[in-house]
Amino acid sequence: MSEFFTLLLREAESGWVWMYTAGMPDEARAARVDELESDAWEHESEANSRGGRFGFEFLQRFLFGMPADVSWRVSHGREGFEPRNWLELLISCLLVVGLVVALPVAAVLLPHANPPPSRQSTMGPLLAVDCLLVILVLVLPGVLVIDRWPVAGGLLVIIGCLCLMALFWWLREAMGVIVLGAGAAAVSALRLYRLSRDQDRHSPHR
Amino acid sequence: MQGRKPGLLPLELSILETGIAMRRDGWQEFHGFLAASHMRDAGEAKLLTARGTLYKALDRLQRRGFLASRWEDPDVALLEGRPRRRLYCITPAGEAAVNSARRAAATAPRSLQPGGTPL
Repeated sequence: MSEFFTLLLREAESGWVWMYTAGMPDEARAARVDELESDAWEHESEANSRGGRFGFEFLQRFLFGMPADVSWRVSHGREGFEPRNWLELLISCLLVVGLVVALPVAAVLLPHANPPPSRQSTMGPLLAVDCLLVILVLVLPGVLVIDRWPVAGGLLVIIGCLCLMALFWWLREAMGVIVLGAGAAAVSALRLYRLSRDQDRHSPHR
Repeated sequence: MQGRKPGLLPLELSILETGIAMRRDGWQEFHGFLAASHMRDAGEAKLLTARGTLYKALDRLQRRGFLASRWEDPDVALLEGRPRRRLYCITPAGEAAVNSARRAAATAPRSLQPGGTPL
């Protein structure tokens, strides 16, 4: 497994931790993130020293642990839940739905869908204009302001990506929907996770 | 955890037994990954325990008072160039729970033990 894929995997896992800890008190959340970061570091260090396959082992530990992560989160319930966390939780839920439900459904259903004859063509000029408009009005401004206003910027990016997905869906461009949705959700989750982590620790350079 | 039965799950028992064995070997405290790798090396698990499962079990044991934990001094971690560890140790209640689980296993009918003959 390449270094790039391992890095991607670790980032995906970090995003997952950020999502399922959303809404928890900052201290409990930071403790969970720190503990899992430490675990990943120890695991990689041990795998390197004994020539193990860190990437595959990490993926296996990550995937098989997901149900327990959710169960752990449920067991902590609403303790310390504050109203300001509701928006963050809503964004997390959108990302989870996008990643866990919508994409596999799109991947399975879209290739078998019967495209309407009049819309079967590939990217026409109208779609190109629509996409450009969505990118200029929603996605680009979202990316530009996400560092300063993470929630607003994240929402703009997510809404823009949903619009683009809808456009591709309309044309039954299955791969477009899947790749765009996965990419957008992953990028948004990573940006938001990093910003949230920075804010949690009051350290702008971490 | 509320609503759970008082017994120990197999993984929880493994963690506590591993912690006790490690203490015999001179490790007064252990971190999550160390416990997972010891369990794998001791043959109690074929693979490293999944992260979510492991830390959920550690959290549950701590909430039940069978483990105590503290965060390592950040300077030590910084010096060694790694993230700081959360260190666990077995409490007297944890040891008592292991002993009680062992006693229960020893007195259980053969048919209820692993490999026992069904009645």
